[in-house]
Amino acid sequence: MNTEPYQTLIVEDHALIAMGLEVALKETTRKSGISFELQRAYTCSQALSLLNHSGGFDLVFLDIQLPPEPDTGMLSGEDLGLEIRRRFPETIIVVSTAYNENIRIHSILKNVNPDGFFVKGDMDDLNLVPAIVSLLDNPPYYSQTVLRSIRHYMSNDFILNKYDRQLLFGLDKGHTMDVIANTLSLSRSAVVKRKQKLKVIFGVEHGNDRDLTIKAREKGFI
Amino acid sequence: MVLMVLTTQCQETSHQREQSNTDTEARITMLISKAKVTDPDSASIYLNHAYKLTRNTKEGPIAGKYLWKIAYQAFRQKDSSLFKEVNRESLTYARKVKDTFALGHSHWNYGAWYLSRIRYDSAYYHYGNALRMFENSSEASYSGQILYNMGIILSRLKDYTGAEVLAFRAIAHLEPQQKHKQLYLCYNLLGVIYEELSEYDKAIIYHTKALEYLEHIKDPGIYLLDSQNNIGLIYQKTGDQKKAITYFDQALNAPFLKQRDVSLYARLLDNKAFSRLLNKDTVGLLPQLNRALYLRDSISNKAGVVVSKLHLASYYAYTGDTIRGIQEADGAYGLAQKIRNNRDILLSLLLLADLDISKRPEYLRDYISLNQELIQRERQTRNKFTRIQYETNKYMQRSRELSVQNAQIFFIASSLVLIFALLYFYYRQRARTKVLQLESAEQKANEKIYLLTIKQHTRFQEGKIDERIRISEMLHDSVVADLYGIRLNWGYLQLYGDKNEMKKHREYLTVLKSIENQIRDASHSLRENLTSHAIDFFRMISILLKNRGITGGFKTIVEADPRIDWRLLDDFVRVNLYCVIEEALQNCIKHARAKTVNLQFSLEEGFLIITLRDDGIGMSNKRIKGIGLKNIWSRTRKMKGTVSISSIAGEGTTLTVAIPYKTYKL
Repeated sequence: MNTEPYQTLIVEDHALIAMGLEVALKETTRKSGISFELQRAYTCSQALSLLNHSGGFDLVFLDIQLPPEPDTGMLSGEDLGLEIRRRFPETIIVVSTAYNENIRIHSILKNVNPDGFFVKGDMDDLNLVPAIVSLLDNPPYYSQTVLRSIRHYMSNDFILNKYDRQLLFGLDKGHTMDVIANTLSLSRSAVVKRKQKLKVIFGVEHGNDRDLTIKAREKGFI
Repeated sequence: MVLMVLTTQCQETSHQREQSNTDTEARITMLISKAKVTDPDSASIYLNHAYKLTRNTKEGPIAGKYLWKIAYQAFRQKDSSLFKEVNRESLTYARKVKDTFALGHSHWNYGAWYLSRIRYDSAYYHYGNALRMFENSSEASYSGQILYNMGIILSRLKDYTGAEVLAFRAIAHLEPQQKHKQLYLCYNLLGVIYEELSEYDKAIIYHTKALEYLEHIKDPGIYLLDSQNNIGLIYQKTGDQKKAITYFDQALNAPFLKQRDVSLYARLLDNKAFSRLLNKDTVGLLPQLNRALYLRDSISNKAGVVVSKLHLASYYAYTGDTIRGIQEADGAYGLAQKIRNNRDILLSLLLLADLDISKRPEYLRDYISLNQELIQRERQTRNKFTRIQYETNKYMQRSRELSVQNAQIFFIASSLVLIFALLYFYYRQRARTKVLQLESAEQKANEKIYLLTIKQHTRFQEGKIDERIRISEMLHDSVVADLYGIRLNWGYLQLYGDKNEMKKHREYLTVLKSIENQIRDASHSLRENLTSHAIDFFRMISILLKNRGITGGFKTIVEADPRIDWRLLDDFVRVNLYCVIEEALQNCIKHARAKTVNLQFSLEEGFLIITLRDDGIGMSNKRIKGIGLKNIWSRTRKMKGTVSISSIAGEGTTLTVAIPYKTYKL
């Protein structure tokens, strides 16, 4: 057994869930002897500074549902996941989310390509520990809903990239096209085209910006 | 306007009668022209017939047109009784219908008639009236001819200055018309006048001028000879007998003179002989004088006979045959008295006084008394004339003043009417503009209200949506997350108990998980179908219908084709459609007395069809065109749509509005 403990970061804004995860990791150590050295971050910026100081983690538990931080460009855990993937390709990323929307799941899979993907509704005290063990031994581990979604979306390959998500976020905050174009460093017409494409993806091609943001919110992208 | 209508009516009726009248008119014209060229007896028959026809038609226009013509021909043909009757009727009629043209001609006829009867005052009076009637007529030559006749009358009355004035006035009227014959007569008259005024040079000038006009006349006939005779006489009077004789000879050399006018021939013969006598050339003179006398006697030219006898008496006086001279002079005196030729009476009295020395004082006395009497009479007549003329002038002046006054009144009245009309139109226009302004302001206000309502509604809806999202997020992010955390932690608690207790513990955890999922689903469904306010147009219409139903006390049903994408309607169409439906519902409330109102939206070949059906009392065609529906029409037109209304009394009304429905290419 590996005696080196996994340098582990839990990024989770809900204290109860973080606590639950800690208990589950302890249970894992008790049952399988895998040890973890835990650090916790409640926000993206906290996580980023920990990443900068520590020089990387072996294992990151990442909640997608984090408070957005437009200043750092982190609108959700997804963006943080991308950042970690870019800087520390070796890090094992476990995404957990309350969303069970197909589009959202698909987008996370494509962008972050996590080693573990938990939909919170699927998880309980009984399957959590085996899941952690499984993804460490033989990644990846996807929970039930994720697997179902993958099957469902096998043929469909649309994807929302970072620009799209930032665009949606800006729209939701009521920013003008110019402001959004500025923050994205894109031309105004490019932003408009992208927006129209998003409307088609979300099935609101005749609707206005609000229709788009509502739909995006409904699907969990904001 | 009224006047115009009246005249057109008159025209119409006269038009209908024209046909039958043309026959009568043609016959009358034919009869008159026949009477013109025939002998007096047949003329009388023709004219009487024409007169009868004219009377029988009882038609104003025909009587006015033909009566004076018939009267004129009767005068020319010397049928006095017919003339008097017809002309009197013509005058009465013309006066009645105020036909100035016919009135003028009737007076003219009377003038000519009285002139021929030597009743100068009456003639002058009628000529004066006729002149007034033709004053404003376009026929300037009529005025000229009348003035000439009036001049003749004045000259006969020895008012030579007055006659001169009239002759010149006549010339002024005739000159522009180039009436050569009339102008000849006028200048001839002037020549005679100046002769009488002893201004012989002028007299010769005017006579010569008269002759110039004669050159324009194709057949000058005896006019030429008359003029030559007149000129000859003037030279005779001035003592230039040689010239006088040349003129007389010129006239005498005219071909067929004797056959054409014996009287003139005799006069010329006599005048030439007298000139020779005055020139003391008596060779073969007596037969000439006698021949003239014989010719004149043979045609009973009594005035001529008197002159001939006087000339013979002068001849005898010259040759010293006093007895024969007295004989001839006495004969002339008697005859002159008989024909009342005062001038010749005076001349014969003078001759007699010269010849019969024994009775000289007697003759001279007679001469003086007659001369005085004549002067007296002339003065009286002239006074009478002055009065007539004065009155005429006054009348003319008054009528001129009146016409000026009338023109002023007309001008003031018409300008007043114009001003009032302008004011009226101005105010009406202003009122109309105001109404239009108010209407458009009201419409704008309505649209603003609608837009505000929409905005408010949207905001309300947005608030609602935001609240739903907030609740959903709270459920999802905190409640579900907390439940998940609790469940996870709870599962890892090291609990101890018997098997049953532990089993229950597991079951509760499972229940907790399912509750968690239920809440998550609930939170999801809270966010679903949060489409924008676009759909709310339909909701607003539904609310409107429901509210109006409550007001009007009728049941409401609203249906819509699910294919309709309400977002395709822009604000402009929404505002107008909303107003159309509101207006239609207002009509339902006010008039229909409906129990149920059914509003239906459907799609049909690129059109959105809005059908509002009620089961009320229906409406009449008049109401369909009423004001309330005007707005519906105009608004639908604005949306480039069409409206149709069908209504059956007692069964209700159906309003159908169709507007273009645009679908986007996907």
